[in-house]
Amino acid sequence: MTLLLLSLLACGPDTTKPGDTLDGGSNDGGSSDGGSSDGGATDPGELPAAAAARADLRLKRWRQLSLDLETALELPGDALCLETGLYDCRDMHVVPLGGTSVPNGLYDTINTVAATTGLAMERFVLQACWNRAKADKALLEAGQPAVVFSHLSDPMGTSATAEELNAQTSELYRRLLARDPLQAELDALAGLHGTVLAEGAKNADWAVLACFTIGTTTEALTY
Amino acid sequence: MILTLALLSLPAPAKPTGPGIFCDLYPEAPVCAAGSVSCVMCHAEGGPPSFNAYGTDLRAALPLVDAYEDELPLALAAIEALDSDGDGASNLDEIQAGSWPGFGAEVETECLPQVGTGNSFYRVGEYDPHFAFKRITQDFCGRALRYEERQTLQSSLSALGWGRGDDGGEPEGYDDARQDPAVLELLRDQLEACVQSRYWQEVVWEIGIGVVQPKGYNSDLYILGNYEWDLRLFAYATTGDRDAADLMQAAYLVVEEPVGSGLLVAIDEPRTETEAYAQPLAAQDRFGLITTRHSLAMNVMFAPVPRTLASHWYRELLGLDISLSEGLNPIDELPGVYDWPSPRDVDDKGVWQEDCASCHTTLDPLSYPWARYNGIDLENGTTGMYLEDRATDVLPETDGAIFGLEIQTPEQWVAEAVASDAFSERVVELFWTYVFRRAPYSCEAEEYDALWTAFRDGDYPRADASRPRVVEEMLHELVLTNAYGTP
Repeated sequence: MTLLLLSLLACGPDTTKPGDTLDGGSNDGGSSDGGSSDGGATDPGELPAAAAARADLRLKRWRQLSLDLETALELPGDALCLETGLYDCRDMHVVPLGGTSVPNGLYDTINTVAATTGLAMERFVLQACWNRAKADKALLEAGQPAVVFSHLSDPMGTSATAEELNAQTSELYRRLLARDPLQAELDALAGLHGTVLAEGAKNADWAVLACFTIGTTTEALTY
Repeated sequence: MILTLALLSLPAPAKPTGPGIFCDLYPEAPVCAAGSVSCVMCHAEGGPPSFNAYGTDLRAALPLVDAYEDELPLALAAIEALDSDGDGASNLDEIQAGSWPGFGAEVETECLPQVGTGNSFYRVGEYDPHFAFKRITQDFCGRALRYEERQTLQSSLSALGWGRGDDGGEPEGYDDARQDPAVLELLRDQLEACVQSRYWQEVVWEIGIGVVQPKGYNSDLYILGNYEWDLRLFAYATTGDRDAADLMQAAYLVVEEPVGSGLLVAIDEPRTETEAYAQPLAAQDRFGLITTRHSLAMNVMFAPVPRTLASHWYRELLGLDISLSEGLNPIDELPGVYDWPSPRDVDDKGVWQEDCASCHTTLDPLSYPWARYNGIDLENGTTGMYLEDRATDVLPETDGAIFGLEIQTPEQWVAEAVASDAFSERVVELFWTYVFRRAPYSCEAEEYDALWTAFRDGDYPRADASRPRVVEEMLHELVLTNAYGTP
């Protein structure tokens, strides 16, 4: 996982890398990713909820994924994700993310999950989070307030208060899932912070991974 | 060689006549009433040659001693009482109910009844206005609700008495959110706003790609036609308050004005020489997508009998794929000459032969009315033009047939086509499939049928306006189905 994350992050135009020994932890979205797509707080131990028999969720297609990330992270579409720093993910991954490709004669959208759909979504979200963090870092260095990653007093430090972590987590939940996190979800992301820093990473690395974790939950990618 | 011989030696009971025989035996079955029987009635989901459980039983019941056409009805009857897929319903009951006798209930868990209540977030098992509003925003605006929007939505619906979750309650006098005019207005306004979005324009364009199947270059100077004219026409005819019949009946052309704006405008005639090259037909000879330069060049090519042109639009706009034995209405053009119905074989391709004739008795008459439309001409500059003397050596007259009805002109062809059930069902299918990513489940068949019949007739019980074949009005009804709004 560490290698995968490092290689993904290295794909961006900026070769700055997070801590060398990052551990991405799980991307199970804490305990909230229970298969219900919205308000889907389905931690069975905390909030019992009857499951829908229909369970008829749809994966977001590339335009929907892009628009959601543009809105949530306040980035223009062409700044969300570039493979090898050159190729817009919206073009590069259009087919596995449910689009068509006229030049390749692929006229019908795939309505199932392709072999590379999961990878494409993860790369899309991870780079978007990374690019937002990079843009926020530049803002901070210019003496301006960060847009999304604004709740950590010392982004390059190795410790943060529970209030800072909860505030940053809540910011991400509101932006990416349009709701407030459950306590169990706050706890899970705080736990991720401990894991990440134990591996030698910084607060900012945790923030990117928290963004990635929330942004790749079933709740975020389906509707 | 060994493989070829092995294949030839295998019994091959499935034939294109099978669906017709099936519907002769079960004319009241929903699949027959809808006009076609899919291959997966007997074959596996991936199509031939594999069989599903029903097809396997049917094959076992075919002794293959006498003629297939004689044995098949007997074999179908012989397995009626069986429950091939083991789902508890007999094959006959499933056929008559519009279900699939070869696939068990396990393929549609989504149709199982809702068990259990107590969900604070969703009204599971019933139409949920919160859920539907959120889906409308994602499907038609292309984005999720923002935090503040969601708070506002919850406040608005709660104020109307529709709190979140299955314990959220209902206002007095209502037991379904769709009965509440205030809820309907909320959903309708959101959909109305979303279908104006650039996102939805792009989606409609993408649906059009599946229909037009663009090839070549998007240049007006391209000899084989610029497919963007076709995509613009598709988008124009399926948005706003336009009648989707324009897909086959439009005499107008569609341009984007100004270029890059996404705003589509209909024009009566090309405005420049370049546009006249791109769309060379006179207005009276234009029939929507069928007669664009791209369509004629790519589908007619050099053939005197434009079979590919007819079959392409029969498939893409009427949903009838002749290669899958769909929409066969045989016309015997040579009665008494052969022991089977046969086409005239006007261009001497050998299609009179029995195995060919089963499809060509439909396909050839379907093609004749279009014989005067030229395909590709690399020497005389008549690509995509209407030529009075084209193919007169093989077709002195262009009388043909569609749905078994005799017709003389392209105008009659498209008039019958757009008035058909097949056209309305196909257009609804295009949008349903894009939104749902799947065909309707068996438990949604009734809603789906109501949707396309209302689209055909312009008869929507809850719509502000009701006109035939207006896609956006159909979408207003689609989002009110249980299939769409019930979590």
